[in-house]
Amino acid sequence: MGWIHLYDCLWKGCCRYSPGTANRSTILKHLKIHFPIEPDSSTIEESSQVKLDQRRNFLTQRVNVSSDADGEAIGIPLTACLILRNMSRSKKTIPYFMAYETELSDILAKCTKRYFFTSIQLSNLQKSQFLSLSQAIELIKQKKVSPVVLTQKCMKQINAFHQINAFIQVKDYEKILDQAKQAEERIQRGEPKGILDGIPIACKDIFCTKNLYTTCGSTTLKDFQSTYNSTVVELLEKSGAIIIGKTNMDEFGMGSANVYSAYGLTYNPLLSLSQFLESIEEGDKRVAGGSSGGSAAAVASGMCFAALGSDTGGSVRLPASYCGVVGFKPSYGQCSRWGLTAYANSLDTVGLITRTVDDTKLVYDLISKFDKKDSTSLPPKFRSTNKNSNQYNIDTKDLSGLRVGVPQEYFVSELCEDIINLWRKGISYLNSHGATIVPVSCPNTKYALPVYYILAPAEASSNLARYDGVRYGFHTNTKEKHTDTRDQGLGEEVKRPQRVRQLIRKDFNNVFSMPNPLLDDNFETLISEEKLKHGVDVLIAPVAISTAPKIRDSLNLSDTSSENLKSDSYEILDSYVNDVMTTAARIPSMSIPFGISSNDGFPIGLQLIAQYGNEETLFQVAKVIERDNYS
Amino acid sequence: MFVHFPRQFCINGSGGRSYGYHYSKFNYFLNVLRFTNKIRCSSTISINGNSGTPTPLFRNKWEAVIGLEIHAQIKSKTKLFSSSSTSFNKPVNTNVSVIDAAFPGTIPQLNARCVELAILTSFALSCNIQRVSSFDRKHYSYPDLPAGYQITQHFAPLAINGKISLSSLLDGLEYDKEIRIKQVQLEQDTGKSLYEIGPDGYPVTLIDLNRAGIGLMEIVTEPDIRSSKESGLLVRKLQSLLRAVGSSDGNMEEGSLRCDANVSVHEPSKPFGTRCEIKNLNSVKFLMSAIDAEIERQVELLEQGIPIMQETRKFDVPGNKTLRLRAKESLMDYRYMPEADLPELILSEEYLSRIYQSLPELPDSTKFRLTRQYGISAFDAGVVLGEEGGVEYFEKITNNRNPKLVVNWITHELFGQLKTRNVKFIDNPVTVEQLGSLVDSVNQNIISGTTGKQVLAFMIDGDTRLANAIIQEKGLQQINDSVELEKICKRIMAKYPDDIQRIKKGQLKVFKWFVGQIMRETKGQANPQLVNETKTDQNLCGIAHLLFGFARWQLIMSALA
Repeated sequence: MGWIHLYDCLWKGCCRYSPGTANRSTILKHLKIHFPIEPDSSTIEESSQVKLDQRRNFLTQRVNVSSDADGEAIGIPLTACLILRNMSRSKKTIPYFMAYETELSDILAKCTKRYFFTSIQLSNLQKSQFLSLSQAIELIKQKKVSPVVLTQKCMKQINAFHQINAFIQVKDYEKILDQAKQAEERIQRGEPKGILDGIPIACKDIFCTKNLYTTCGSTTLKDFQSTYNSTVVELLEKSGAIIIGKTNMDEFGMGSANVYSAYGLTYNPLLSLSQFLESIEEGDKRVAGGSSGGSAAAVASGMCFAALGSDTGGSVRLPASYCGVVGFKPSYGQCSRWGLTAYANSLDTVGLITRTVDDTKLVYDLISKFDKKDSTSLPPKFRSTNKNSNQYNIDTKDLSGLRVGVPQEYFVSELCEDIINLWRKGISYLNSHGATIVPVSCPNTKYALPVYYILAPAEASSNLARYDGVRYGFHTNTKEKHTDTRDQGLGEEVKRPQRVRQLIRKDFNNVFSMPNPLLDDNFETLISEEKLKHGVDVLIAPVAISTAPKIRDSLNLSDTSSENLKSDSYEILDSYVNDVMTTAARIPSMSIPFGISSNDGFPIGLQLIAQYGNEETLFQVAKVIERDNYS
Repeated sequence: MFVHFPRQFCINGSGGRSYGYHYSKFNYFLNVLRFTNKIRCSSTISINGNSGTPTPLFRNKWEAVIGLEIHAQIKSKTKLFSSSSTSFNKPVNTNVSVIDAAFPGTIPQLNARCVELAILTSFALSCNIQRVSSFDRKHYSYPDLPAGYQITQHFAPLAINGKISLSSLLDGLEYDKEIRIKQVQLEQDTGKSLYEIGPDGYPVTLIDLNRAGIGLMEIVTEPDIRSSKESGLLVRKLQSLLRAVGSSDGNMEEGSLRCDANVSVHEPSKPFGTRCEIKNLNSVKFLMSAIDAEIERQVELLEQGIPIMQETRKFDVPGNKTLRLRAKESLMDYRYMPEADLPELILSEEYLSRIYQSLPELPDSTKFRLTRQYGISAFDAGVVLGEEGGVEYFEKITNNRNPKLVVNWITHELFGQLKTRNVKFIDNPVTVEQLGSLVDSVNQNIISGTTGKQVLAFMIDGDTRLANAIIQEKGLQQINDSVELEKICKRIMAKYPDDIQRIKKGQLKVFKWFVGQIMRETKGQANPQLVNETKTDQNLCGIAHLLFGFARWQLIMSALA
């Protein structure tokens, strides 16, 4: 079966074509019906000359924009920019657009009604211009690109888009450059330190680093310098990566929008990349998502090639979905938590944010090592278990034999229409590539959120007990310095949700064809015929209930009425709704950018979930789902 | 079952069900003890022996109910959750790792040696060792607790349902008694707060984290104890057990063993009374005094009709009374919760039986063996056992020597002289060979016992030679020549004619003084037997007696009687 591109009309409310039925030219023609009728040519100013580039057959010169009575753009420019929107989903056409970015921005600036939507498309376009980590490594290997150039490019992005506040601290430019030069010398000598030699990578400020401050987004740890490196940071540096800085985050990881940082909130980079950020009202700006918002924003805006994050209840997947990058939460115990400042230590995992699935796999393979310093790290004998998973032909995108489960309980009422559509699209996409779709039931899903909201605060109150103002950084010097405000009765309350977690985990174990390697030592004997026949390999689900929320909705701005405040905070609370299940069950999951909202043009991620330790299958399916017309 | 997957603590195999271990190596021996059980009544407390174990009553009415909570520092080289050293008396804050200081991002790593020692202890306490135990956090806020919580085993302790036997034969109790051990659990020690005056003249609290994170075994008894004496004996017995298995120094003065006591009183037929907890008792003597004072206080209140309030108290040593620290209303809520950074501790049967195999001889059976094998008293055996390495020392010396003489030299002279010099037995400089040669020299009449003490003093002060060499060099040989002794006696008699008259009139005290003068003159080298023999046969009488005449001796004997 040949590979067919899917073209949909994403105009809001348009139901002319069911997803994936029309071809490209049909859609392009169809799109015009949504545009205003072209006015008489007499009203168009004479100066609006349209010249065609002979080579590229496209706009070559600055055009003056015609506008209607409301100041809305009309005519050819408008058609062009809307075509642009659709074409932006194909990587192949990107070079044609990038040459005219400034002109197109101008056109869009006049097009106030579709202003956001189209600008996001430009950002998406620009985002896809960035080299992926795997590409960078390949180019370095071929000595086509020097680490110094890559580093300089990243630094340029950091400086250009400092207003999105992705970093809490950036390493000194000289030091970074020095490291890059050393890496270059090593590569020239033919003895690179490791696979990531000279690659700039960012690190969420929750990971302890010897050479950079570790604030966890909190004033309490302002100027706190750790005396040791986290294991994952150590592993990355060992393979040559340059840790360029510490990314912004919600204080101690507690938040889902990255608005609760002592160092200011992180803005969603997708508006700022096309230089519109300043002109937008503060409340209308979008959040990057949290708590690893800084990491997602940094990766999405080309400030680094990959970033470490941490996922407690969706803290990597949520911002990844909001910023249109890949977010990955491995199984609990795969990556060492040594040096990862604890928020809820029975839920915390090291997470990764990259621009492609390959990049994630590449970095994940480097950092998923047994570490005796982390008592909950998975011992080597349990790590070999994922090797016998199925192999799919990624090149031909053939997923025959794959069983994909669609968990019924994930159809929560809070899900936006856009998200549901995208989910459906993802399902049919996998189906069209040979996967069998199986509706499954995880009845204990409803407990996931309560479990999360009991465990996480309880463990957080325990883990944060040490920051009492006696030992660390900031304190107020008042008599109340040491007032104990943490006297909510916990104890038994915390044990119960741990037991409920078992129910959630059991749900997943019932659903997956592969047994949980942790349940029995000789688990291979447990692979029953029936399980293999009826179980599924991966689950497909949405990541977030919406696209990146507006800051106004995430942060209870002072002008918000109390009623709004109530409903808004409820929404934010629920943005975790589909992520906490996998955290509670400690199984791996990944957010892959899959589409954009027809509503606001912001990216939407699709979530893949696999059995504990079955990261291999997850990567393979994610690779297929990572559509080549959207990255 | 909730599966904690990383099984690196799972020693030797698969996890599984909770499974109990009951070992009582000495059941036979305990039965023997029971058979020879004698109950005597003390004058101050009466024994209510109607059913089962005898119960001491206070003022013939009140029964005390006491439970102890003992914290014993584990004698491991490194701390419970980190690899910093546990060595004592190091400069402040030098034995500290990032884990001990609770730095952000640190994760505890369980020390296998601590587990092993705690299991040995649990075996020694005949506990039911749990195949699966887990760790929990106990929260309270205090500057010397860096993390804001202590890692302990609250919900699933390492071992439960043990016992310590106190017997009339071996432990000096008037009756036999078994005190149940509720549980043995592993936990962390805290740092130390040092209160000082800062450079600006204001008081400051300084924190020393050297102790923070050292492994502790919390040993909790059931409320089976009925008197301060039982408490004291229990702690002593526990100390000897800990030392025997090598799991703790058990030294209360140095703080490697700490004790809290829960005390209540009631009338035997009625329900238990309200208890008060006495904290931080740092010697057996204070423990006993504190319990006595607390029983006295509670009985006094109850007899006046005032109810007891549940509270935490401390012992005021100079006033010999307990003082209120805090009332029940301010009892701490520790917010116990599972420690998610540490997986469950799963112990395999092979692992447990391997540890059981390495269990050394326990004090009760050592004591029993010493009394049987060497014929020394249970008291002496207890004293020898009370010092670490004491039994081995004794047994090496007593090889082919008279055990009773040897044990006297060890317990009275050696221990005594060490104590006056403030030297611990573990640092005892006198070798087995040295003390052996000393015992031989005295036994063979080469020196007198008095001289022997001198020789021992030389040895303790650093003379590493055998007794013979010291005696030779210092000319300390005993004077066994009766002609020589007679000369000395006569010389002294000539020196004090008045006193001799008083002796002849029958003044016994002066006779003793006279013998003393002879010993003094000879610097203790006169053979006391030759001077002061008390046999009725005239030929064997001591020289002094002969000089005063046998008839006078008879007089002295009757006066003595």
